[in-house]
Amino acid sequence: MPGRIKQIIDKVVQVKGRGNPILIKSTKLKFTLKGIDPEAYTMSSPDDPLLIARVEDIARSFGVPL
Amino acid sequence: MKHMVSVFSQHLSPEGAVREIAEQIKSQAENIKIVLFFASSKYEPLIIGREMKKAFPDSIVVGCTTAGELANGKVLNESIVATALDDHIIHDVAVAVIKNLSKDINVTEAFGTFERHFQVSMQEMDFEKYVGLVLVDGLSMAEERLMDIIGTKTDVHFVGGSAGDDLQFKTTFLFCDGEVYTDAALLVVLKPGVPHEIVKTQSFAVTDRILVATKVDEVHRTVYEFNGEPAAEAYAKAIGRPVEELEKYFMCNPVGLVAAGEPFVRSPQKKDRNKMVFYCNIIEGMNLYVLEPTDIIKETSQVLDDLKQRRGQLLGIIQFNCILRTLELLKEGRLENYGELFVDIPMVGFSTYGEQYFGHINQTATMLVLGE
Repeated sequence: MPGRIKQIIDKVVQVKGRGNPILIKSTKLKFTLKGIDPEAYTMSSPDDPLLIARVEDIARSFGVPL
Repeated sequence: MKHMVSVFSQHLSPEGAVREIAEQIKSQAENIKIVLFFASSKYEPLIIGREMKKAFPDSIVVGCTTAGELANGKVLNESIVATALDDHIIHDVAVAVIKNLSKDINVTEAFGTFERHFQVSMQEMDFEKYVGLVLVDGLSMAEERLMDIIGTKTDVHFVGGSAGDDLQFKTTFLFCDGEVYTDAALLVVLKPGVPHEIVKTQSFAVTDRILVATKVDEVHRTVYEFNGEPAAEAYAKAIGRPVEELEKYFMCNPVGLVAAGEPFVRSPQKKDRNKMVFYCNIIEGMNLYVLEPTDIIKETSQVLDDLKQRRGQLLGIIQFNCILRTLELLKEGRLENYGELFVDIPMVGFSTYGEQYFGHINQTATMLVLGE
């Protein structure tokens, strides 16, 4: 099933962003600086296991349960 | 009395410089919560650190060494600049030191200090009520990891710079309440009593030429390959210059990680055979855009005009300005023009070995702006 990477990113942005536009922007920026461009992934993006592991690590570092 | 005072001294001795700094501050400010100072590495750090604390025993006193200083309307060298912030502009402040950066970066103890002081967890701390300053050993190569860890553990925005040593690249020093550190970072959490914002400005336009980092050594800030080709060759192709002449174009054509429409600049430091070494790290897979230079004076002036329009009177600015911007302005003979942009605003700052805002960046000025 494609789209897992976007799902994880969206979950982190939702939890960390708490609906605040500044926090949403800063969470996305933090992803970008960690080497993951949140805008580059869609629900059609293939489930690359290495990338999934990376975004899961990022989610964990933010303390976001998946 | 003023809420934020900014002063400087070019006295030859560290004791004399601190005496001049203290006299100027004490004649203009009272109820000082924090004194922030930036000193040329020509001054003996142990003496500067000790004397500054002796001069302000009842305030938090923090600072670092520099690659040049900024105060009010002047771009300085071989000086000490300082600002004092009173209890109107800063309601509360706490500081923590993270030692031995090269071994491990652990912010737990520092964050614990802030949590005990402010009685709120760093995870829960309101980013609109608090703001952080960060000063880091500029030769530690630890800034990216430090900022990454800070960013995952708090919503509070930290802005700052990497300490310098007047381009000697030997040792940089950080000062905290009379103690002197190297291989360390200082974190300061401020609870401003006035509106505040962080500004990041860089004078580059983003082109549509993309370099994808396909093979990198992140720890050593080295890129082996862009777009699957040797890094130097791919970069040369992207900027349209011969590979033998690359280093001449590093300053005007850095690359940028683009987020939310603006670049986070990564400046090339040197070509090492076909590899390229940068002043901050690049992660494998990153898309980097070739940048073209624009006018530093014009763009910084626009940033300040915009701030004044939105905020009205600015009470003060703490500025972290990349040494590469300072060198560019020096080459163009426009250092004075840059200083003059800030002549009507209390401002202190320094020429850094890197700037901090969310991450570690180059060829940028980051600023904490305090307004009424």
